[in-house]
Amino acid sequence: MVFTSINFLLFFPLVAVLYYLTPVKYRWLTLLVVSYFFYINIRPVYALLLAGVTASTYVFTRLMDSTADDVVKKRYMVVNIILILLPLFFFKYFGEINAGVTATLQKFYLRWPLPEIKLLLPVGISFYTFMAIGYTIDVYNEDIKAEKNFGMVALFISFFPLVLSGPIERAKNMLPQFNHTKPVDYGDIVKGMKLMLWGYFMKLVVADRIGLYVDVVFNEVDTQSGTTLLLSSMLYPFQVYADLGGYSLIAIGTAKMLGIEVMQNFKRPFFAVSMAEFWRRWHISLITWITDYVYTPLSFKFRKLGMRGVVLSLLIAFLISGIWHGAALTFVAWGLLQGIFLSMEAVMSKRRKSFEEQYSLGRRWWYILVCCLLTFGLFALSQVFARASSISNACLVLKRIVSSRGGLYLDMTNLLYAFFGLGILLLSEFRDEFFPGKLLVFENKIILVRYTAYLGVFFFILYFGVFNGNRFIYFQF
Amino acid sequence: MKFTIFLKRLAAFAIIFLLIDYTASIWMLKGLNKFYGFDNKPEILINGSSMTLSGFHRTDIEKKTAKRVCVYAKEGVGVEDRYAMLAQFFSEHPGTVKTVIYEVNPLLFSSKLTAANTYTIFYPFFDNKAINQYIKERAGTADYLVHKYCRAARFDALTINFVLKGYMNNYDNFKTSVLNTETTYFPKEEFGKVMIENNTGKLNVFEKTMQLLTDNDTRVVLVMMPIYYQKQATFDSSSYNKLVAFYRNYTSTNKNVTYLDLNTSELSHNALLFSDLLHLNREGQKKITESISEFLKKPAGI
Amino acid sequence: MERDLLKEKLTEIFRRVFNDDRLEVNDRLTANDVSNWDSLSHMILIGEVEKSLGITFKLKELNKMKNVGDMMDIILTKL
Repeated sequence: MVFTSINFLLFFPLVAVLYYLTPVKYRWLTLLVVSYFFYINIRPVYALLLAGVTASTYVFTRLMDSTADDVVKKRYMVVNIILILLPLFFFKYFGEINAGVTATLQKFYLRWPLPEIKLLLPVGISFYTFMAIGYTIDVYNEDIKAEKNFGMVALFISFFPLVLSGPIERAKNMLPQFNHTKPVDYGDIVKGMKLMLWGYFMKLVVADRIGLYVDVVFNEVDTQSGTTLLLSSMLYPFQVYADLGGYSLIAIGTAKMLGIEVMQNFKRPFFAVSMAEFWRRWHISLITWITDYVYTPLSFKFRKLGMRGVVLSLLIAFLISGIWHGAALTFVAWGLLQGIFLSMEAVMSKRRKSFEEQYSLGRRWWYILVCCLLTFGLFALSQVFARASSISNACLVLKRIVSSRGGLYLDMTNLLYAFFGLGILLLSEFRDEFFPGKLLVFENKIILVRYTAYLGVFFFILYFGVFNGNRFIYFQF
Repeated sequence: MKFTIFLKRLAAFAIIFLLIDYTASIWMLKGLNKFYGFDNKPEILINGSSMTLSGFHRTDIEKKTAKRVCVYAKEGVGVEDRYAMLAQFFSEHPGTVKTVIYEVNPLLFSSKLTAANTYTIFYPFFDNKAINQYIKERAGTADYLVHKYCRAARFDALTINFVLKGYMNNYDNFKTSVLNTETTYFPKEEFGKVMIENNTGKLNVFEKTMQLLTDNDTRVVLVMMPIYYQKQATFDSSSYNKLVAFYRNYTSTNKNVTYLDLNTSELSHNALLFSDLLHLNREGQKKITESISEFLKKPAGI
Repeated sequence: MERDLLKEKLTEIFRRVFNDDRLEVNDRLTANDVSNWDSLSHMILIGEVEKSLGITFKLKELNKMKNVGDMMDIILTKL
């Protein structure tokens, strides 16, 4: 069940009550049972896979801790990583690669013996696999001792608020919390509910409303004017942010209601003044994971190459980040673009800094605004590749934006509600970025203000949220 | 925070929510009734789908015919939904409507047109016992309960649009875009023609509907809406003609039913009147609003 | 090598890598305190430190460096 389903809204309060009724010593067990119930409810067969990844990780982390020989340790780590990457590779990438190889060989009139395989992706596999790999590497680095309790490891990998869409958490943060759960704190429960409320607002009102407009445009790229495509490309980053950001808030809020602290996943990304800063504010859990487990080892390996080593590591790290999102070439292109942007910034960073200091631009509001807009523009450009159905489709979009003006396609209802919701979201973040602690609404001291805000947002979600995601498909001649 | 304080605050929140919810829903329903024209003792009712919504302008027809008109239409509705809509209307507003304009189109009796969740269009009218039952039969338990007790959930963005328009006395509902014939895709001849289906079950519902309208002492006008001619060219013509023959035959055996074909070649060949292959834009709306008003002014039509 | 001498040498390296002639190195200095010091320039710094002092770090050691004080402790074990 997804967070936005009625089933989850009925399921979760029951879980919370059950959790707090369980004696403290066994609360982790309740969470484990609930997490597996949650996952099995989605697709029972894939719960076996989840258990398999858990078992392998448990065995090899214990083995690593049992030996002092670094070479042997490394071997255990590598074997586990390969083992748990296999299902991810198979389910996520094999189909595409197989199709690609078949098509290429066909050009040379050769037959590829493997049949075309269409597989359903096990839900959350990209997320929990990364969590397991992170844990494995942490144990190898002696950052954390291997957890002896198999159930705890199982809980870490399957924890239901995180298992479907993250944030991608670290064992170092989660295992101690599972081992020592807090007594019930009603302040936490209220905080968690507020996070969830805002998360639902972001997802159901902002993301899904924008989505209704953007989907129509991107589904018929050939017939839409450049102006329409431009508007949609400008709106799409907000859709992705509100979608993943909203979902993350719901996950964090859900965990908070259970007394578990989960890392922040987004930090007002559209107020970043450079791509480097953007990536410190966007999908933080994924980027810090890639930084710690891919970029740092790589750049360490290439450190003798100076700046060239950094650039190479960046390109590879973001290539992997792109591939993580999906098997299509468009994601590879997206990842490469990010790597290129960051590399260019890294190379020019000293010159930019001295330029800014020479004219003391750092404080000027218009300079900050220009930098934010530029950063947003670059990100929106790369997102065209993530959204388009193919690289040629993406290039077509970009070409049409530049070349063909024309009438703007307007879906007034959706756009109005989308802009209204987006406006509220951006104003709230503007306040948090530049005037933190002032003009508080959800955190206002006056209870009347708070409750008005909660009710307002709640009704806003009910009236303007998108609940039946698909439009009526009428007249299917 | 103490447990008792938490519980008290949660309870207070829930109570305030339910109060506002109830009050707001009453206000919204009133606006919706205003937009549709239900609250004004209507004499003419127009029932249909999105083609009706974009095709007829309620208050324009009122001005031209000097009669009160209401439009009860929603996108995507099939023949069963329309029966429910009419049953609901006549149970809530008995005795005022004397003429019913019933939109017909080639897909009315197709088994393919059954969007699974069109019962959701009735959510705003949940308080009506028959509607309550209708929804109960079709919605999942969770869906049914949520919409029963949380009234705000009954109104979606489009409905709210209508509510606001109702209060602003704005009865406009039309598209201004024009069909772009160069970029619209038409399937090639060799892929065969689309068969116009006459599903028996759906025909039965249609008969039931006509019976309902007759029982309520109304004259019925079956109106065939304009469809862009190149789209029509994709239909299998013999099955389409069979459908038209069915309607004409129906009117000859039922004295209170008339058939009005607005799908004339003059209208259907004019791309400037359409916003897409099936729906008229503001210009097209003006034209058929004029046609229907003229028809209704004639003695036989009213 | 003495800690103070190491501090002097590191100051010179840091100033060069981060292009800041006024930078002062102390035990509690972290990346948050230096404007050009992020994950992108970090490896360049490490490479320069290794080259200048003729030492080699292990990746595991990097993870243990929370501030310059930690870095100096680790370097001193190698000299």
